[in-house]
Amino acid sequence: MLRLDCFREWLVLTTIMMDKQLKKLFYFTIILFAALAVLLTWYQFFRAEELWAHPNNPRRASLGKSVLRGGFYDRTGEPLTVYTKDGTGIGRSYVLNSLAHVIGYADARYGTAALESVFDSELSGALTAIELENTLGAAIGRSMAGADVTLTIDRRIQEVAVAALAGRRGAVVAIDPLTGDILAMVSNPGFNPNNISKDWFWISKDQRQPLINRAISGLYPPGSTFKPLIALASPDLWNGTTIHCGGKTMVGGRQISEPRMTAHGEVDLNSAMAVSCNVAFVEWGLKAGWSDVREVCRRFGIGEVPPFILPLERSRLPSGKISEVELAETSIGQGRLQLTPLSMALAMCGIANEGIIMAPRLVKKVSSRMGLYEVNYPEVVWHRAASADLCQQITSAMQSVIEWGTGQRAAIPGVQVAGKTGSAENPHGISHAWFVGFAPAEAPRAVVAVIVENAGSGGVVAAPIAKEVLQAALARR
Amino acid sequence: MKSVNKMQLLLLALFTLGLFLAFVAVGNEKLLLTLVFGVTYVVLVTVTFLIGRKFRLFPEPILFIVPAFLSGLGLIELYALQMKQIKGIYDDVAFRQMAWLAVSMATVLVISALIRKFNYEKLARYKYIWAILSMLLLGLTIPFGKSFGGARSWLSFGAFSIQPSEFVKIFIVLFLAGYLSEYGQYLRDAHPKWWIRPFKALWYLGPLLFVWSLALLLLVFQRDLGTAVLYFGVFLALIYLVSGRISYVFAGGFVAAGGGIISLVAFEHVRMRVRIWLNPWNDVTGAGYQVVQSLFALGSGGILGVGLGAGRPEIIPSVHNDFIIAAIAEELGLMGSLLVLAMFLVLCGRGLYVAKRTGTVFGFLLGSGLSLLMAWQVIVIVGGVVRLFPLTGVNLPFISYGGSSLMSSYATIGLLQGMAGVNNYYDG
Repeated sequence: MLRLDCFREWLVLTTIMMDKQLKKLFYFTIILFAALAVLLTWYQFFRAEELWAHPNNPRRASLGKSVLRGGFYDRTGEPLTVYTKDGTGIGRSYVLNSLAHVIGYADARYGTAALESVFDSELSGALTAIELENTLGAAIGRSMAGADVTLTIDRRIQEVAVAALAGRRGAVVAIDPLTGDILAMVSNPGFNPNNISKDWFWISKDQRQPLINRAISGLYPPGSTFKPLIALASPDLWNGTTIHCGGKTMVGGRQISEPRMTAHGEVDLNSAMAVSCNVAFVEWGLKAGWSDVREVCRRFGIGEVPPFILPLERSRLPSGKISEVELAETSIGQGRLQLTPLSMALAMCGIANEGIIMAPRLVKKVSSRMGLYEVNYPEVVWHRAASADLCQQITSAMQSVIEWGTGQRAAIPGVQVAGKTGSAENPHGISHAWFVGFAPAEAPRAVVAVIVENAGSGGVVAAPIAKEVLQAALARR
Repeated sequence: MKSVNKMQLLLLALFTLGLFLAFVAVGNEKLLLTLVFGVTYVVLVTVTFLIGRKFRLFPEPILFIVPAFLSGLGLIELYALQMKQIKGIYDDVAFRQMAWLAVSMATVLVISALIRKFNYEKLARYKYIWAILSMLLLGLTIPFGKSFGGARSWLSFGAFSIQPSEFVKIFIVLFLAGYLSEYGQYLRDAHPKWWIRPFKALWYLGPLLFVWSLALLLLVFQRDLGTAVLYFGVFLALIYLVSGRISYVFAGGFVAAGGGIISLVAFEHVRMRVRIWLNPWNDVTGAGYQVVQSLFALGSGGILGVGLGAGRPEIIPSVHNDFIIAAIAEELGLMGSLLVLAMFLVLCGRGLYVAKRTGTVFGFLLGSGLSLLMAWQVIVIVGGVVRLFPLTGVNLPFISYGGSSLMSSYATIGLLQGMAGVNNYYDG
């Protein structure tokens, strides 16, 4: 009986006591609920816009299925996307797989990339002006559509460049030096933007990185294609003089030699450029000094991010102090120097266009179907890099390359072509084959930069590709 | 019908009619089917409420109206998913859920009636029965378990499957409450020194620890980490309640931290979850896909939401159970998601009130254990979605798709209603 009383007393005491604990547990629960409310507010209010507009948010890509996503057109108005009727509605597919890196893709699961991402609001009709136009259009029975994007790409040149590169790893960029228009941009290996959701697993795992646009994001040692820039840095050294090439030279205890130790004898700028004489350019580079070389690079936009509509890699110059040996290596485009094909092509634009480099332009115009929304992208001068006179001298040296030097395979009958070959040594195997050049030399209409990875000699592999692309570019209307 | 208060009826009518209109908005393409579906819900809930009030089975009306509303919200989201006619998993989710809701309505009435008829205090006597039942149910999943969505926690019977851990949740609380109401008194003064106290207490807690750690092990085996964390949390809460000693919570925290570190080292799937939690943006299209897509749903919902049925929640894998809150947040916005949270807090508070008013240690422990379990389950899953914790897949009570989850949630409500009825402290 006594024990039971004790127990009863304990019961009463405990329930009173537990009341206090229970309050604490409830407060604890309330605090956690408050934390949930704060986080929900964080995502649903403070970050709502950003989350909604995220390229991987498929809601954006498929915004209102009633709005037809805008299309892409080349500079002549030829369609680069076509619409097809399928079972559920109107589908849109890409005409050229090779433009996958430029146009990108818009997928329900994998979001948007490249220009599809940059112009997503325009293409999907989410901008107020386009929405307004669609609302008005719907009233008079028109179907709703996003804005169309007109590129500077020429479909024919693009196709020629793809055929010339013939599936090899590498990149081709063709630019109109007078306007900065990108006429063609190819990067291999690529992917099929029409099958992105099916192929994604393999594409994203592929060691060769098909998603990377090598033309604007691939970093390569420029090799001998860098020599025109060394020439630009040392006009007083080569002007009216010659250098004796004995097939090799010693710099800081290291030997730098010609391929197969060929002695070129007495060379001036034209012949040094034509035979790609290492000894001469090492001499000029060393005498000009790093600060002058770096200054020329800076003026030609190397090491700077070009104003471009797609995100890209910045070319890399050696930073900090540079030794004599390294300067010698840099003078022939090796060492720590790393350039993108676009950067190389833009530097060539400077030489071709009397020292003026236009900002690279990929998109001409974005406009809605009825024209209520229209944005034209202007031609903009990016750099005034060098004097017209100096550029003229370099151009004639680069003409020798095509006429009797290493770049003869880029020659086009009846047209003066200027160019430079390169075979860049790299840690991934045999040399990268480079060619940069433009035509016609006296009034350039197209600049081209070609790189084929681990393919050997630039004069043998890259020059013929450049020739075909230049021919196609010169034949354009 | 004197026992039916007019205000309560009005409240219920407002809720159900609102939801009925929402059904019509979601499924206006198949109007007849939608009308039948909506009317079914309204009738089911109203009839249950009237029966419950008539026979004094629902002394706490809030504890029925709020869950019924939450279930209706869940049904609408599921109906919207079904209406999208995506081939496969969402074919008939709403119809199945409606069937389970009918079963759950019967469950809540029957359990409340049984508890009222036979004093719930008797449940404490069978504490070892609950323990053995828990072990059995969880144990069965080892040889016969089917895995859906990573956790191997389902028992399949032909056409339908049950998730034993949902029911074990209730049995475990029954066992803990029964055991602690008897032996808990020794815990408070097991030893005067706080750092020795937990070790000394092990002596009194022997059988309990045995049962409970076995349950935990089973859950770890099934990879049902969220439920394991919940069991652990409720265990600590009840010990704290009965002893008033925070030292047990710290000791338990140490054990949990140790267990956490061990599972981090031992299991790749645990490491993966932590990685996704810390930065889901690292692998937006792969491992982090589900979490990132649910964040997109939250962001796209904004404050007011895109409207019921107008969102794209089907993009999120398993949105119908673990991620249903993301669907609600997208379609009803911040207003909707906060409303759901507030309703759960009201439920928990009211449940604790019932527990307090029972006036017995067992009733106190049982009621608060059940109420806290429900609220903490919400915290675990919503916290996983908004990245307060690593994501562990547990259902959102009353709302998520799933018969076991729905039935066990309403069984909890039945128990609380029954307990509230026994002492007759309220009979409005």
